[in-house]
Amino acid sequence: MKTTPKYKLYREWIYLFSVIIVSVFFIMFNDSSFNDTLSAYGLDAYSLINYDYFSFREKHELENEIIGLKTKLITSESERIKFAEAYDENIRLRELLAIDLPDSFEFVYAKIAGSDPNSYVRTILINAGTNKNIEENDVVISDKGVVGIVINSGENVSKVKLISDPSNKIAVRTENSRANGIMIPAGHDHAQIEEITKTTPITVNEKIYTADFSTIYPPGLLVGEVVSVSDSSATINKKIRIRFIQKFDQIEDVFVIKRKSAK
Amino acid sequence: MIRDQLKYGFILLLVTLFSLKFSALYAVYGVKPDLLLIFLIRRSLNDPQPQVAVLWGFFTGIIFDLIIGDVIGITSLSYSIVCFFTAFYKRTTSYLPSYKRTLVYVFGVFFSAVLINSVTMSGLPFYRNLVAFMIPCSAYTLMIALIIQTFKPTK
Repeated sequence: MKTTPKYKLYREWIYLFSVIIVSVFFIMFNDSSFNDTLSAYGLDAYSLINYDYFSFREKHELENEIIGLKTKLITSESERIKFAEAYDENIRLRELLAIDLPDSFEFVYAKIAGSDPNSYVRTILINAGTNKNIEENDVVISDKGVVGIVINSGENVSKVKLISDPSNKIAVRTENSRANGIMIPAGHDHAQIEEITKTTPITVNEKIYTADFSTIYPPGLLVGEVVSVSDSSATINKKIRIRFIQKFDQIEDVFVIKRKSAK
Repeated sequence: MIRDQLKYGFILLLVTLFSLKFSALYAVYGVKPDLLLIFLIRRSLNDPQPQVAVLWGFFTGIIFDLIIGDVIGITSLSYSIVCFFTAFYKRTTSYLPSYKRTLVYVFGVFFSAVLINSVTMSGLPFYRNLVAFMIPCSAYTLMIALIIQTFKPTK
């Protein structure tokens, strides 16, 4: 009588343990260049099937958008002229005082190529990659404020980690008191700010911006606004809850900021 | 046999594209269901071969991770385990009454949510993670799964 080899009896378990080992291997070496390369291939493959299905918009919607943009352009232009004079003066004074010049930035336009498909993921895809010189840690913004940072780039598509990802800890400052704190995301659309003492005056609806000393985020980008402030914590710090200005499900167009260091 | 696998592969591709492109349409307060997991559990119930189910779970998860995942490997790990045990359990019995089938979905979806969230949302305390992410996501995923199950029951 023919007997079944033992390994065939346990074949399904061997399959299970093999895939567990491979998965754990990937998790353990999540930041390795091997994973980054594989992910870049994944993004390249996705860019092949990514198609902008609903790029068309209604004519009147586009007309309204054009009118809005033209109005905004004229207002911005008049402000730009004022700021340009102040900027030139600032540069002259910095040169006189031998202070480092501020960094300047260039912007790369991109559209959303895919959003987080379930609630476990706090990443989106944009249709710009290494072909537009997008690199890891480039900051992504929209007209409403910070969106996130690039964590991986394929040739045509990049993966962006949203600022609402709970693994983020971002240095921020308040609008009025200019107090610096650490923002820690705590949900889909809100976060809390730590390390701001109870003596600092903070008001509801006060805007929150990225801090001046962040190595990744340029200073002064809008992050959110305060929804509640409490002194009930047992520590010396306030409990500040903020809401992100950005609605992450409604983003359509973004800009990737490329930092150009000043000499 | 191969035709079935190709059919599953094609549906899986459509589900992946749909969830990447249109997830905002069915998000409720930022909570979204895990459509891929629903598809994989249904596939495992329809074709209860653990060694095949585990490979489907693994490759679906790893492709998903490579395209949009933050922690590569966590979705593949979770999907593999859920698919394996769903198929394993279904194989042991020729008929599953509806309450047991519902329990398979409940265990599968909640296990997956706990495993993935614990790693990807590790910045949050566990209880907050449970309340803000795990329970809402599992509930929404289960609701969709049970609606589909009602209108198109698995074998």
